[in-house]
Amino acid sequence: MKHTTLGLGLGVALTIALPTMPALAKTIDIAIGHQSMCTDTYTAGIVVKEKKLLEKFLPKDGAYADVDYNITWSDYSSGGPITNQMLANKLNIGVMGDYPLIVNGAKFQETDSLRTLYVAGTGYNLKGSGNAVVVPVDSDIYSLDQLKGKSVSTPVGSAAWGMLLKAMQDTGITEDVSLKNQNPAVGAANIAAGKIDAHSDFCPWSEIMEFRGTGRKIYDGSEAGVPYLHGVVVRQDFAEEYPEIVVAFLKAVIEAGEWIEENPSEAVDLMEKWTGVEKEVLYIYFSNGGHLTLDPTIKDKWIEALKFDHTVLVKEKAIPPLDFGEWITEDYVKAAYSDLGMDYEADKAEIIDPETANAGLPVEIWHARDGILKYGTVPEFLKAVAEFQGTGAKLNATYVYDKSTGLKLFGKTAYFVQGEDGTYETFLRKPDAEAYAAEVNGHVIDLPTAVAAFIPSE
Amino acid sequence: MMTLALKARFQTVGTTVGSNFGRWLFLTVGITVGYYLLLMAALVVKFGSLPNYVTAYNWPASVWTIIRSTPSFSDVPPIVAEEYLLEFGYMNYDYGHGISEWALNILPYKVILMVILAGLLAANLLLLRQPNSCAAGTKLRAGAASGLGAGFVALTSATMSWVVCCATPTWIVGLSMLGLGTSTAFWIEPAGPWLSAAGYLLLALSALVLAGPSETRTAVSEKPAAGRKTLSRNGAHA
Repeated sequence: MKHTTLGLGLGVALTIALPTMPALAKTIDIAIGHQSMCTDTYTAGIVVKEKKLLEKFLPKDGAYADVDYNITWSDYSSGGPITNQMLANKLNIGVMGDYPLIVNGAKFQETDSLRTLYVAGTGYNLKGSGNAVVVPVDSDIYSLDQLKGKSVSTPVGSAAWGMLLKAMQDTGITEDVSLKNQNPAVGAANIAAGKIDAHSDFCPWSEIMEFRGTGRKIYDGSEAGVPYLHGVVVRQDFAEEYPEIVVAFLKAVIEAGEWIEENPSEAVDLMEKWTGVEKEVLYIYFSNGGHLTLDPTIKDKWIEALKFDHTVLVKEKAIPPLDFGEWITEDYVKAAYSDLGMDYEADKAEIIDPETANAGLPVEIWHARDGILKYGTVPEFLKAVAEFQGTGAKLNATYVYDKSTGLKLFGKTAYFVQGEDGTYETFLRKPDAEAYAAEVNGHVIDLPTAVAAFIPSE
Repeated sequence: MMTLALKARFQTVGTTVGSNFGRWLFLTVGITVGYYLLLMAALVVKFGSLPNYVTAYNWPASVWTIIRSTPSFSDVPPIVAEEYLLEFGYMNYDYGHGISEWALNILPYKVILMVILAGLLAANLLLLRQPNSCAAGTKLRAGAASGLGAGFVALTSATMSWVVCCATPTWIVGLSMLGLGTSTAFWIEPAGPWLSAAGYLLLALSALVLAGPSETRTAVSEKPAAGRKTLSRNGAHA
């Protein structure tokens, strides 16, 4: 009797107390692998991390009402280790370039039970800019065909390697070039020391070399004509268990892109602090008219490009097959667009071609004190540079556009063509500049020579 | 008869290792540690810099995570095989906040493979030193095969990573460092497991050959002297 009463009492007490007791919170681990030395990944990596955009969009009601999130970010120097960590389920989400993305999808599909999903892009360059071939600044090599019999280094397996293979095939020099495997940092150091004839690398290494005055581009990825893109992959089991979190992540990616587009100067300033990459280099990617089009949509053209990249990898590295239909899904990014009230199909349909999009954009001077200054014409720009030099003002960088491709360039690395009529055009590659000079009876000059004509006489 | 002979040879290997266990253990551990020291030395010499970072990983926790989150058990071993315990490397701080340029990765799975290699090699060395083992010519051939086998396994067990090889540890990094062309190295990469298996096979066969009867002993066993016993522990067979 005594025990029955005690039991009843406990039962009643628990019935009353349980609903009022705080529920044990569930913790969801979200582990993301990103690359702080690869500019094209920033909108799904360093920007989302540092601005805490994922935290902003994570679901906090319904099934997620009592959830605690444990978000961890891991920084890698390439996509390969991110894939390995995803296989081990130590990363749920990875952001990487096109070639490593394909290896990721194929390696997962090679397993019996694990898969990743390619859920969104981060950014792209339609023609393939971002990858480039660079020579030492004092080299007498100005075009790819001059690399016959020379040594070229590249990080094998990267997008830059894929571009280099295609470029050499297109130029017919594949058999005549000694290809070396080299990492970006050592490749850049070898270029600075003149230890290698040329080095091919991905974003932003070529521009770092140009900005530091050690290297000069002889070939831009845009000449290969294959789009260069980056994207986000998610473990399928994670995406199926927490689809709202994947959508939240993609909303963060979209907002990161919008923030950069609206505040390029502030963005590159902060990104320099976050990544250690010089802001003047980042500006060439993230400013209006820059190399990168920030766009998370998955376009048909990207799928074609990825399929092409896969054929290169199959041939060169014997990677497993990849079922693109099973791997790529637009569901999550469409849901993110819908939640943000944005039109996915409109963005998907828009493809930015720098050649037309950048036509007529003002050339720029980055004044150390006054920030970015814009000029409608090249002569106005040259005159301003001459005046600033006259006052000893510090200029962080200058930016012009390649007439052939519309790509943004550092003024100091561009070839200027002064036409017979006194007009100026700027070019990335010397052969293009020389051809144009012949066409307009002009001559090819460098920035200091062009500026010299505008220095006020005594 | 053949099975009996094989069994006797296994017994000889076992007896030789058993009677020199301390020496065998010392050799096994020494060869394993020496191998990793050699890899590190190769990296330091090749790249001209000492390692400037070390990272320890919670290997048991990683393995547990993999087992829990991989539905098909057949997928588990190859993923676990890629898990690190330790990483010694060189971080280049010239660009950005640093890039791991190269590293020596200690992967428990590969360490186990190395210990097996070292154990077999140590057994072969002990067998070679046995005064009553097989004939000199056979010893020479078996010794050479041991060396070749050890070379195959050592080459394919290298766990160095180099950012140029997509920063994941692969045995072809060693070949690339030796100057082999990139495309050729990647072409050879799938042959790694086969080379490794061939290496172990050579080592095991060498051990069995070395455990064979010596010519003297064979002669003795063909014409047993009255009142003389043959002892298994000396590598002879009754």
